[in-house]
Amino acid sequence: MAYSDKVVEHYENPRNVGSFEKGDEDVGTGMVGAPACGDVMKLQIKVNPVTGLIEDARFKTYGCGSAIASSSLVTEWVKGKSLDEAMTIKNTQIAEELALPPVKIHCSILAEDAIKAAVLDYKTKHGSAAESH
Amino acid sequence: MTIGRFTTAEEIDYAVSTLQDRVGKLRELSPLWEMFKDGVDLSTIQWSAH
Repeated sequence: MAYSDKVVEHYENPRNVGSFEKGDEDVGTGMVGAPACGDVMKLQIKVNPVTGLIEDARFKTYGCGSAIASSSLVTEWVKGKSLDEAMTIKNTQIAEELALPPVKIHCSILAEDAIKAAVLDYKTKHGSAAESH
Repeated sequence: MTIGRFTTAEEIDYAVSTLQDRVGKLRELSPLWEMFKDGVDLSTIQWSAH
């Protein structure tokens, strides 16, 4: 099954590739997956300490076109959201937007896990991990 | 991708430059390459299976 046009578009022109400066207090980092499984996603969010909103996001992904597209897409989606809103992003929304076939659903699951890991990392850093559960 | 006696030097040059370009792009996207460049020993990372 061929990749959808949206997956190819994100793969050819990935959004928000990169990393934030190490040690930035306002950044939460999530890294999920494993090289042995063929996918590793690193997703970072930069939170405005005053508004509590995610003002920027970056990603780096080792994996297939769908994995790259899923993580590229969610960096666009989380911008402007609150941490709680970001936690509500579901893998099914990602899969639907990118028209992922069943064998690529795990890529969208990984992207959802990556956001959650990034939000959790930010909350842990700022001593409010308990709030989200 | 195969190479045979009818492959020309120009075709080899094209394949090499295309590969370099694509691998460069994928490395730019890869968190593993970033960690490798930072001197992280990837075998020491506790990866989460999925």
